[in-house]
Parts: sequence; C-alpha cells; structure tokens
Amino acid sequence: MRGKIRAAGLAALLLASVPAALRAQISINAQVDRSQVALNGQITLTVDVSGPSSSLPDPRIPPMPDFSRYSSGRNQSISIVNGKISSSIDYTYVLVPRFVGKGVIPPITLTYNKRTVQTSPIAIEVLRSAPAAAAPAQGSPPPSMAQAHEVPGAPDFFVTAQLDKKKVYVDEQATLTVKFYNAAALAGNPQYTPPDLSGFMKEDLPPIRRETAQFRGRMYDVSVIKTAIFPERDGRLVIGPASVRCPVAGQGMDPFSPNFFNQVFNMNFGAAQMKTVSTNALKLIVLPLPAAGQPRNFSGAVGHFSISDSLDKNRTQVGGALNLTVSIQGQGNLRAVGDLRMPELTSFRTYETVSSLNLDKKNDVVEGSKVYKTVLIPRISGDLTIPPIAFAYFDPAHGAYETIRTKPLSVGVKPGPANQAAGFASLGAASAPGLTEISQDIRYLNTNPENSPLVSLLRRLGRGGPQNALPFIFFAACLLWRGVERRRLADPKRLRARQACKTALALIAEASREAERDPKKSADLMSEALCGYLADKISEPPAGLTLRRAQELLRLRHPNISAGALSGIKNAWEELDLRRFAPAAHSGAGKAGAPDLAELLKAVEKELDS
Amino acid sequence: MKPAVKIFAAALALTAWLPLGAAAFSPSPAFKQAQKNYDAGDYAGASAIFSQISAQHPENSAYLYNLGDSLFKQGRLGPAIAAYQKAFDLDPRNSNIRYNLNFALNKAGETLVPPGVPPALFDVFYWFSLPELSGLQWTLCWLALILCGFWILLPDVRDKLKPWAASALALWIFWGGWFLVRKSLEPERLGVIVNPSAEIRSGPGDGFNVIFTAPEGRRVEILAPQGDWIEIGVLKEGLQGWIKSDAVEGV
Repeated sequence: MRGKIRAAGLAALLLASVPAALRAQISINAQVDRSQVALNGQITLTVDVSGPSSSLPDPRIPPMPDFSRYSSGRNQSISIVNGKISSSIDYTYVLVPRFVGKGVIPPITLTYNKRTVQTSPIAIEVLRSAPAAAAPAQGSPPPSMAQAHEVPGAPDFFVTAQLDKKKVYVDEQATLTVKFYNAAALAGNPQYTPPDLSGFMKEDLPPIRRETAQFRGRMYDVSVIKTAIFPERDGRLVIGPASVRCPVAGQGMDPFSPNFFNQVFNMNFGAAQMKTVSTNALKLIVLPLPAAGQPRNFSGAVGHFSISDSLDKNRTQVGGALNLTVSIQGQGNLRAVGDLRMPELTSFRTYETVSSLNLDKKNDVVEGSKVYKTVLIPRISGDLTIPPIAFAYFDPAHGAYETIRTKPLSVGVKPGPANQAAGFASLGAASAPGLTEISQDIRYLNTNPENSPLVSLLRRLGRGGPQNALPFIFFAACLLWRGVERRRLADPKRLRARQACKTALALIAEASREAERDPKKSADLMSEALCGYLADKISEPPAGLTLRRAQELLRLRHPNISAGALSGIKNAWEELDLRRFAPAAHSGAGKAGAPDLAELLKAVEKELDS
Repeated sequence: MKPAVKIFAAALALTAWLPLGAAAFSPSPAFKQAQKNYDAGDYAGASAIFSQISAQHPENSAYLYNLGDSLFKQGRLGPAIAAYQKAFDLDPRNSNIRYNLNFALNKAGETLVPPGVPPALFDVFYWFSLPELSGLQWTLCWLALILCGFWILLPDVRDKLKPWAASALALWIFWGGWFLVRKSLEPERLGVIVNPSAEIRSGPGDGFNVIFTAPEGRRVEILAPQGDWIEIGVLKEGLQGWIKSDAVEGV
C-alpha cells in the first residue's frame, strides 16, 4: 500500500470526565507511511501534536520491543489569530523492525494541563522480504551471504566507532559513526547499546545505512548508525564505548539470513550463545567559545545561520494587529538558540514573542529553523519602520562571532477610530484625558552645560583645606584675648604694678621732649613719673606720697630691694624737687636727667620683678 | 518677631536660592560635534567626545549627563548609570538628570527614590549636592565665627552684632547638620556594575564560590580593594561579596 495511510485517526482519546470544550484544546495523532514492511525496510512514524499554546509538551514515546526507534526531526508551526495562539508539532521517527510477524506501535501519550490524551495502537506487518507494493526504504537488498564463509584472521563480527572531528567548539556538531560488521549467521537480533554521551546533547541521524565491506579478505554486511553530538562544556570529553550483543547461531541456522537488524526471530535460540563486541572509548577536545569579541546580544547559537523577517501585511490602521515573523535558519544546534532580542519598537505595542523549532537532518547535518512570531499593534499613524533585528552567533568554521541583521520593514498605518490608540498606548497610569503617552525614553542632551558661578564658588569652598582653620583660629584668639582681659581686670593692684614702669617711661619720654622748650614742665613730668611709679608699686595714691613713705612701703612690700636702688630713688626724688622748685639753680640739667631716670626705673623694675 | 529670627529667616532663604542661575554658554567645536553625532545616531562617537570633555571638566554635571545619554543609547546601561550618578552627585536639583537616572535605574531593577520614602522629602533632602552643602556650611562657619569673634572683641557694639551673630550661628548649625546627616547616610564609595551579568564570589579569587549575581547597572558600595578584586556591598539587597575590579565602575 503506497502513500501515507492514516493508521490511526484523531486519537484524542480523552478521559470521559473531560468537558468537550477542553477536549478540543489539545490533540495527538500518529500515522505511519506503510502498514507492511520488510524486515530490512524502515517505517516512518509521524506524531502530530497540536494545541492552543506555543510551548506544547513532547509526546511520551513508550518502549517499542518490536522496533528500533530513531528520531528524525521535528517541524513546528504556530499561528496567531485574533490574539489566540495555536501551534502544531510534527515529530518524525524512523522505525526499523526487529522481528518477522505482527508488530505493534503502542499508544503514544501526551499530558497537558494534567490531562492525558493518547493515540491508538498501530499494527504493522513485518515480512521476511520486501512486499511488492512497498519498496525497501534503502532501495538495495541485503547482500548475499554466499561469500560469508569463514576466513582465518577475520572475525565473524566486530564493531567500530569514530568521530568526524577531533576538536570542536562548545555546541558545535560532531558526528559519531558506529559500524557493525557482520559476516556470520546470527541466531537472533543483535542488541545495540549506544555509548555513554554524558556532557553532550545528541540527535539521531537516521536511517541506518547498510553497506558491504571487505576486511582481511572477508566480505561483511555493515550496519552504520550515526549520531550528531553537541558538547555542552569545554575540555577533554570522553565518549564511552558502544556495544552490540550478538546471539551466535548454532546448528541449523540459515547461513544466508539478512544482516544483524534483519535477523529473523524464529531461529534456533536453543543453540544460540550471546557474544558482546564493543568499541573503544573516544576522546574529543572541546574548545570554549572565545570571550573576546563576543557580541552583547549573543545568546549561545553556534553554527552557520541566516535571518529573515516578514510582516503578514504592509498596510493597517492604528490599533490593528500585525504579525511579525523572524526566522533564523541554518546548520547548528538550534535547540541552544535562545530568545531573540527585539529592538525597541516605541511606535508599536508589542506582545510576547513565541517561537517554534524545526529540525531536519539531511546529509547527517542537523539543520532547520527557529521561527519567532510577535504581534505588533501600531500606536500611531504614518509610515512606520521596524528597524533591523540583529542576531549573533559563533561560526566554528571561521572561529569568530558573526552578527547578521534582518532588513528593515515598512508598514503604512492609517489613523484608527477615536481612542483606538489610547486604549493600547497608555503606558503610565497618570495619562491625562486627551494625552496619550506613546513611549518612554531618556531626556535629550543638556545643550547649556554651564554651571552657575555661585555653584562653582560653593563647590570650591566645599573642598575644605587649611584655610578653613582660619575662622577657628580667629575665634580662639578672641576667646583668649577675652580671658586675658577678664583676668587682668579682676586684679587692678597687680595690673597697676605691672603697668607702672610702662606708664612712667611714657611720661619720661614726654618730659624729655619738653626739656628744651619748658624745663619746669619737664621736671614736673619726671617727678610725676617717679612718684606715680612708686605709688603704683606700693599701691598707694600718688597724691600726698612722700619720699619717706614710699621708701618704707617699698622695703615692706619688696624686702629684697637693694639699698642702692633706694638711694637712687632718694637722689632722683630730691633732684627733681630742686628742679621743680629752684629751676634757676639747675638750668640745663633737665634734658640729661630724663634718661638717667629712665635707666633708674628700669633697674628698679628689674630688681622688683626678680 | 525678634531681629535675630528675621535675619535667620532671610538669610536661610537667601542661601537656599544661591545656587540657582546659570551663566551663558557658547558651545565648543567638540561639543557641537558630539551633539551632531548624537543627533545622527552615532552614539559611540558622541560618547567618546563627551567622555573627553567631561574628563577635562569633571565638575560639570551637564557633560556627565550628556555622556550618560550617549552611553544609554548604545545599550551600555551600567556605564550610563555611572555617568548619570556622577552628574546627580554634582547637580541633584536638575530634573533631567533625576529623570534619566531614575529611568536607567528602573531598567536595572532599582529606583532613584528608595521605596517607602516620600518623593517630596527625597527631593528636598537631595536639593543640594554634598559639595554645595559643604561649601554652604563652611561659608556660614566663617561668617558665624567672625561675627562671634567681633561680638567678643567689641563690647561697645555687642547689642548691634548680637542678632547677626546669632543668625549666622543658627544657619551654620542648620546647614552643617544637614551636611553631616547626608554624609553619614551616603556610602563612602559608590560603584556601578558595568558587566552584563556580574558574578560575586565569597572571596577575592576565581576559586571561591559564586554567591550571587548582580545585573548590569546595579549600584553597589565599594568596600575594600585587593589586587584585581574588590569587596562590594549591594545596597538594595544588603548582600556582600567580591567581584573583579573591571566589572565595577566607581562613581
């Protein structure tokens, strides 16, 4: 039977208690491309999941003892209609039958929002040889085992593993090839155990290829299993050994049976022995992505990509919806491609971006596309432009980061109905009636960057420095002066005694100046100076002070005063009395007396202070 | 009203309005070129010139503000916030600086006005920059001490000097107190995370555990440098750790 046969219709087998409205929300559907297949053929199983979300869960594929299963890719489509998102994902698997007879693909289940749906089981008839209506998937029949006779030094079967690269970057694809060589009649289906791929993300690369090869003069059937691996971290990563368990045929085996995956199950198991062959562990050097030159919008994509964008229409009105689709396609680990950083679209209200992933594995290379869809609603009218959208990836072929951009898109927007924009555009809660805040942005440059002179002065003053100690010094000096003044005024006798010499010397200086012009006045001044000095020192009023009284009190108050000093005072006192009261007898002597008196008082002062 | 109170009130009003007013500005060729680049969308070119100009005039908030604008337009949120913060520290009254700093901080998950603080109170408290408050309090310190000194020295004019000296003293206490409160509340050294996502470790080295990450633009207090690492405290969350010094720009 050619063409696709819907083996199971819509298998939205929901629980009976689920309301009809909810049942319609998600569905799962499985179909195969044929219901009969040769043992050496392959079946393509497509599982379609659809529902009202951009992120639908993966279906749970149950164990299939009748088949070996390989993931062949996925294809997702998303549609947004009136703001409602729906998506559909096709998962494709390649199934290789293990036994002749009736095989069954068990129900495939899907759980979403705590509800489970499942497909119906699908019956497959596996024939020993290719049916007339369905050609084998690989086209060429298995080689005859007529040549598979034993050859000394050549084993009956063995397995090898190899990588296509020795050194890759993180998230760069490397292809692991496992080859099983068989030249013997096996008693059953060999069991393949894949290698431990911790630290890698893997993608199957079906279908299994079959070929023949000669080794040490012996012909082998070779089954080739390929896997794309993507290292998740840098360093020296190890790929564990892959192994194959083979039931070795006993007596009565058909020596011309097909290769290991096509061994019939109805052989003589009683005589079979299990033998295991393994590959060696492989090492892969994984380089880190360079930190230098990494673009700011790099989201982890490694490979080689292109980008395109489109709008579903180029004319609309304010408040109308536009679907912006951005597609990133190329070779690489598209599962690792993160969210797309959209530019700031201030003229539009933007909704959350949804993405879909499509994977294909042609020519043993994982490729496909990641499609991002966003609904844009224009806020304003006019010819609006969607600026280029940038996408950065690391190109391992060149060992450098690349940034690609979409082309800018233009859309003509007509004014919408009244208040159409306001309903979408009011970003802030405080928009006044009649005003519509379209977007928020920083304010423009300051085009008059001159500081106020007063501000500059204040800032200079604010820097501090030693000059700011001056007011404190001034204030402290004032306080000190005030203290001294207070202390001075608190003891007038002491103050008078301390200032006696200074006052007397001032009078003597005046007397000296008057000596020429008015000798009598000069003598009066010197007498006043001497008398005043003595009175200040003994704290007596100068008026009425006699020489005798002054001498007595000086001796009493200052016992250490010398006789010479008292004698000098006596002589000066008497001489001044003569000058004052008999000026004619001492004419011309006044000028010479002032310095003498000054010297006398200084000497007495010194003696009294000591 | 007593003369001293009248003088205090008048002087307070005068000092509060002192910083207002700006001189006329004739743009330099470099400034014109930077503005031209900015208008043409060459934000990298504009920021390079504004960076040079602001380095030559480190006390001019407008150049730092313009530098912040051109960095923000390039998507360099961390350096933009650092430039805005420097401008704000110099001229906190400027409404454009406040707006743009708050706008940028919002993108880094912060706000200029701390949660729970009335915006009006914040506006008043940050009406003056710290250098301005320092300048005002030093000016009033000079005035108050000189007047008080003369009040001591000149007993004959004490009655006339008394209200002036008392007012100057009260103003000095007012502005000095404001200055001290501001200084005590602000971190000793502020920095801004300038890496897209900075890892903060428990010690100064790659061997220590990462204890948290901080987004670009988050303001942090710089505590202690050690080699290529500095200890920081994250103001908003109250966390502390070590980060590579090139991931933080000092303000």
